[in-house]
Amino acid sequence: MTFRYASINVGKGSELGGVEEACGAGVRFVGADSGSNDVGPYMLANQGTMFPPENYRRDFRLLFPVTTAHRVPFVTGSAAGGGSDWGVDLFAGMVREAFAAAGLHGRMARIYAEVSPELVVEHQRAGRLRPLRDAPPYDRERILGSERIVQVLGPEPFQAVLEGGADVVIAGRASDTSIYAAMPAAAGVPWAQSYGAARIAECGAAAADPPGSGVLGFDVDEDGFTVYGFDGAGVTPASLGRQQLYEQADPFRRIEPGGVLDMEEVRYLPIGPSRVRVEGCRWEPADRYTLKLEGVEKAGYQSIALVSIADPVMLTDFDHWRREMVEAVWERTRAVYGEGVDEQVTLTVRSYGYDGTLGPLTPRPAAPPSEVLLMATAVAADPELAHAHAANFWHTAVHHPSRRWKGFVNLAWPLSPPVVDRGELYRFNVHHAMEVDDPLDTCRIEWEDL
Amino acid sequence: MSRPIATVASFRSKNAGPFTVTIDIFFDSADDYRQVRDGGQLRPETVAPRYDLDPEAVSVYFVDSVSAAKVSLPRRLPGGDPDDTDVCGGQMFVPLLSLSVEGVGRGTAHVTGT
Repeated sequence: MTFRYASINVGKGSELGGVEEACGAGVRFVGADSGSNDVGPYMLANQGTMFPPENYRRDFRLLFPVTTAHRVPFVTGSAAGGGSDWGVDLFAGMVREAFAAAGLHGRMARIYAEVSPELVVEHQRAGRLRPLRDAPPYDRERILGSERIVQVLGPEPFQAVLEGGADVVIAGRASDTSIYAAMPAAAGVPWAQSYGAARIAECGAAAADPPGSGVLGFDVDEDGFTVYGFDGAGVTPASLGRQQLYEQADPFRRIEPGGVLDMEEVRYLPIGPSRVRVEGCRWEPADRYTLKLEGVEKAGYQSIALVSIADPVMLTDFDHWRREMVEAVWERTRAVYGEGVDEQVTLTVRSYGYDGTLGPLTPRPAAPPSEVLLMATAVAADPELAHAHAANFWHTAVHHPSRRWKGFVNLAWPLSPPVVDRGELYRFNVHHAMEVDDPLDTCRIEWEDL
Repeated sequence: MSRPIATVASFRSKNAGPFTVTIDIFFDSADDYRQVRDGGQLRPETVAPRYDLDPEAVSVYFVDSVSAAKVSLPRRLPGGDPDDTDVCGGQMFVPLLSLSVEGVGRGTAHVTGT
């Protein structure tokens, strides 16, 4: 028995011509992982999507006439990027628009992944919360102070709605792989191969050679799986091997809700120039079913200001000048707000062209830089204080004297007004696994006819 | 003879979740890969000081099938924190580039200088 499916990206404005070919070739579903926590906490705070909304609308307009004509389900998880309930509703609205505009009919299942802080506290109290690698402290107070918490869904909710006849599945935050592993596993493919193929599929065409091109196809069976491209795309053993390492701390073992995918013995066997057979994935079932949690909390209001320097005289003494300048900014803010202000606002000065990207970990440059952009970020619970501190940075920096120059200094600043208020920011605050009895207990499924 | 690891490999880095960054080091040749894997210069104790970390916080893996090494370590701040400077960890491999490794670069075309 071979189970065939296709993996695509939505939101990037990718070439989707391969979907027609994939549907013609008998894929059982078309899957897309829409999510990422790489872009920061703002998406889980409902502050925006990963890609511009119009990009998703365009992809849905192209996609659904094809999948619907072939009666192939479309499955996506981590809707809108963060996978909050807001993201699911946003995607669901776009799906309705696309179906209505093309006069299509079908059934949509929405899977919501948000969990209440109270439920998490309950599990913590029962000893059913376990920190994962590099997890931050996560006590009762912090849980209850969260802005939003989502479970990272496993394959079971996807299996439930696909079995129920969904033509479109829009899910909240989901394990990237579970979106793709669900249906093959339900059809009888072992978890080792279902998850092994899903590990390659989850980044869409990122595993293709060249990366990012087209639509990838997967033929999964009980001994392994074959990866190839539709519409001219292809893969190589090297491109899949590199994908195995991608954004995963341990290259061999991947923790999933129901067990661990073990890729220590995986083999990539070329079949011609653009297809690869993969064998050797193993699966260790877990004793207890766990769902990873993701969550965000408020981190204050941020204002930023930019100042730039190209004067070689200033730049020969940059380190010293910067130290003195930052101290002068604080003196000015303290003069207005008092000494206690140090506890109420932070100031971080990133000096691009010098050490802006890596800060103190920057390998020391031998020569003075030719140009430096100073970007200061001020963060405070009070937005007016954040703004004031950033403004004090700007005005102090542009006139702060250098030891090498006796007159009145004027530096450059590129923006007017010079301070940009970025509003309220958030912080990821959890990286734990929560033990549950039944993976369908903690999510919410809603059906609708399109 | 030793040389910087950057002369015999390509680097990339990325978050593995918001709290961990993982660095992939793809060697130009299987020979260089084996030299570094067996040479002992790439290990938690040599990586940790470059990131101001304890060696216990650092993991180093070697992946024979693609002649690659992987280094995983905790991020200083969670990805996208207000004071974070590299939201998805894309440049966090840079402190590793100057790490000295022994016995590599034999017969490879891209070596410059000695």
